[in-house]
Amino acid sequence: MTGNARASNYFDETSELANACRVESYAIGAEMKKAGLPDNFIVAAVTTANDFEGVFNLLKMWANESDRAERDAIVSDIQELIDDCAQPEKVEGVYVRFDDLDRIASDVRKFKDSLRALVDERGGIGKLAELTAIPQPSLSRFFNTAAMPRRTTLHKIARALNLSQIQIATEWSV
Amino acid sequence: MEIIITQWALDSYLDLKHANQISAEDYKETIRPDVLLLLVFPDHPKFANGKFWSPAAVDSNVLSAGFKMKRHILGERCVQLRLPVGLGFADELAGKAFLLHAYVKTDPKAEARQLEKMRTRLQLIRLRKYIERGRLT
Repeated sequence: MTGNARASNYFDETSELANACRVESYAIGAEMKKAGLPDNFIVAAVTTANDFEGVFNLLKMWANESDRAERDAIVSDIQELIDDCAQPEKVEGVYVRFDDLDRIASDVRKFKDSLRALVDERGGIGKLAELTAIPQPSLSRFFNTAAMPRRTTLHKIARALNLSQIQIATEWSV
Repeated sequence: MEIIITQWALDSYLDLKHANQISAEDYKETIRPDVLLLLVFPDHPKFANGKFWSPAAVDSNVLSAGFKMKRHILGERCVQLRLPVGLGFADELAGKAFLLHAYVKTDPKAEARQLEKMRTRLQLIRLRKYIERGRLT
């Protein structure tokens, strides 16, 4: 079966090909479990892969990859796309002016650095990964980039570390 | 063509800037003028130049409505910048070019991951599940 044929049939609920992809996703999910990835992440990844071919292809890349760092990068990408795919509808966010971008990046970094300090006080990223069921590579990317934080991620962190709403408040969360 | 800035594109810019991969000058002098060409797409000779603009493809299979704008040597660090763009959608999305994200090309494995992110985000745009953060005019 060619890649094109797979793409055109991917969302046909009844096709044998779609079922084969699902079964393959479940098998990869089992491999992820053996590799120690959190159950919540695996379930979200496999469920999202059922509807989004790009996520399914990333799952396959993970399964075929032997390099640890590359696997971590794939896990971070999958988590990013799980969050993207959870977006319920189109949203018109506040428009941002180019001249404000430096300040926004600086604000986001300050916020993440202060949150990271709280995380380190409470056992560090590894502990946070256990408590939130967010894979450690995804949390590392979250804390190391200047991308605007997702509210869903912040709420998971707050619940895990018993932080107040004020401690996770930032005007740049989305 | 209207140029839509998505949250993904905004996040990419913030991060590339934070990582010192691109500068404000790179944006003002190179990236922004290139992206603004989308306003007249496809009526500019650069869109016929495969080194600047090409359909996005995985293993020779083209991603529907997926394109890449390419800069081969950008800024002091001489990075290879890639700007995935979604355009050519139907219905009310017709006439709109979506800036999906941006990344510095490194190795083939990272490129393959970026293309799968692009494939997913093109699908999300078709499903109207995205955050619009501005328009480039």
